[in-house]
Amino acid sequence: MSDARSAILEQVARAVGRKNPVTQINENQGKQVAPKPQHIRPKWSEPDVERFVQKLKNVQATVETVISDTEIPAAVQRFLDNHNLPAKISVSPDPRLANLIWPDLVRVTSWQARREAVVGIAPAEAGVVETGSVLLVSGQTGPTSLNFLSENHIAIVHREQLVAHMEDVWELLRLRNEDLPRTVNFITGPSKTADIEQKIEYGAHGPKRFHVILVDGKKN
Amino acid sequence: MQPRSRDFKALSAKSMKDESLQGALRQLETGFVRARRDSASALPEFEALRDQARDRLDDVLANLDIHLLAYEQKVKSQGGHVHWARDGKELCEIVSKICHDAEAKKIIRGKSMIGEEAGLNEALESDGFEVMETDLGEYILQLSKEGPSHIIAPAIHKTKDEISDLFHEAHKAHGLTERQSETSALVAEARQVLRQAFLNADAGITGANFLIAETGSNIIVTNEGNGDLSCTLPRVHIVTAAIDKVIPTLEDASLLLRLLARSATGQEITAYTTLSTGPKHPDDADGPEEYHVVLIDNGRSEMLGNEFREMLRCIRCGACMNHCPVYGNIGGHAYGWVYPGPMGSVLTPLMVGLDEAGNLPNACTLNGRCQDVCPVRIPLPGLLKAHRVREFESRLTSSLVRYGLAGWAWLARNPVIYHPLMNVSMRVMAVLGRRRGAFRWMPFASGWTDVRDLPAPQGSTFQSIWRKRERGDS
Ligand code: SF4
Repeated sequence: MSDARSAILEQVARAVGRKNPVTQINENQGKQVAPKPQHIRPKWSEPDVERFVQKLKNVQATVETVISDTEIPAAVQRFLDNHNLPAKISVSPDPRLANLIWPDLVRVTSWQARREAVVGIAPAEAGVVETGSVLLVSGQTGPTSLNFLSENHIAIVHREQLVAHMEDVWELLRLRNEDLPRTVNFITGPSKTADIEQKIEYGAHGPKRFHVILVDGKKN
Repeated sequence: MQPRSRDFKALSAKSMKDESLQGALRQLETGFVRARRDSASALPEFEALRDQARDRLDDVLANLDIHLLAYEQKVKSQGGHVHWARDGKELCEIVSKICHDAEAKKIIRGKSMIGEEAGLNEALESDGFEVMETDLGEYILQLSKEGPSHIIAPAIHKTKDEISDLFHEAHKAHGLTERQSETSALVAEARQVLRQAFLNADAGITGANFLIAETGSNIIVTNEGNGDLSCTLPRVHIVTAAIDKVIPTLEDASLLLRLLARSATGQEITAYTTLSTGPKHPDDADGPEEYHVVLIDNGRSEMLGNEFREMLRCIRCGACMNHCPVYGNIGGHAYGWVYPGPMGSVLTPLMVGLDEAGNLPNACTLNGRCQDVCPVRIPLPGLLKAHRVREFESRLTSSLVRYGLAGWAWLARNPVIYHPLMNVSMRVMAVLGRRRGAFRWMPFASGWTDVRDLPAPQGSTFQSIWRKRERGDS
């Protein structure tokens, strides 16, 4: 359908007042068309951690703050107990979770692509303070399906991973100096819908609960 | 979807007598409208962001071809495919061929207005594919064989009872025989049925809120997570998007995202904001093997070159319809095609023709609420007026209206006659309507006054009030 391509590009060129239609650009031109704009970024006065936690709570996510990684399994256990969930968790194959020592009674399996799970756990890449969003990306050890096929989704965020704005995430991603991961997810709360008479119901297609374990690194 | 905009007047009259629709529309005010107002006023930078978004999108549109080419190049360099479609028919053919070549039989859809615009479901079904909508609202409409009545909340006109019946009927085939009547049970049932569809699908088709030239990514924002499952689980991911969705950089995406959810539902951000870029990387844990983007024009490149260019800034938030008194009275189906409300009244005549949809721009009361809330400051009333001018010029207006207007225009240009005449008729109307402050009936306006009271004029015209104000004796 290259025909349609040139027809559209010709019409666009005419519309924007170009004498000759542009149908090819080289890679450099492609990169140069848009210098990074500096758009307005919202400001706030409350402390970052406080805001991040509050924003998540506002959208019915739950948050537990722990001091160090070694406390993560116990925090997970508390989450299971609180919601009367079976002692079965599915863990992302990420090496950052490999050294956790789980309670004997909890059955731990490594996440299998495209399988469902009652509880899925994954480490985040960042937390965005502005909106209380948690960043997860795909990769060899980052299955995106975990984020959506788990009935209960637990994300681990470290305090030093908090960034102010989405723009800071763009910078983080650019620092990787490669193409973007196939999937970049900003997750802000559990799955929900208001498609039946404008009433909010949680757990539409994705997780019914979204729980963040925030590893603070220091005593409160 | 076959346009029915020609029947606008009849459809409106029907909608205004539809009690359950009226109930749903009344909730807009307490739901979306209030939520938008609260979230906009909670962000001090909101108005400045709107200005910035308007200006930035104008710059982008002025070089749209370059951004499209940069975007195409970046998608291709990461193993994705880019296809171009002049109209809905071409888009359907392309998508059908992609599915056919990939031997995909079962197709799941994430919500996409482009899919509606092109009639993609019908086309794929008639080509023998099994298609399932996964956005809960769209799924309900697929079962009831209706089009959307709102761009953000497509099934807003449906009652819980009607949905119970639809599910009861359709889900028997899945062994779910009990009729559910609670919202939570209905959602749970749809989740169960659609989960199987997600796990079994060969291809997932989603729309795109934005396409990013810098990275070759598409962004989708959802609350349900259906779009994410659609672009993650199947082996083929197809994105259908219009050419005006392209923006240069990731920074532009965050600018627009700050406006989109607030304007649409009053959320700061939706539950899921997702960037998809190309097919899965070789050793990724999951993701699709093929990634296709189909770019559709369908009249947009023409709009870029005429008085409707500003409409291309639209980010499809739905705020204009939530705040439109006409939409609030008649709902979305009366508009007869996929885009309702003010944005629909601008777009539909451009996409399906002024002879089919010429009535839509005339329904506008030019109250300006839509423009006040449009996050990218599209001058919607002005664009609707531009349609009226076009319609008048192309002489489509019925001769009665034309002569009537010509007569009024002559009068209006002769203030010596016009003002006394208008003052008299205003006073007559005010006396007639005074008893209740509103007219229950007016000649030639029964479609409206059958179900709505028309506010009675206050006994003077705007111009005479204005003159009094000027004199300082209001
Ligand atoms: S015209 Fe403006 S308010 Fe209406 S949907 Fe588009 S962006 Fe939103």
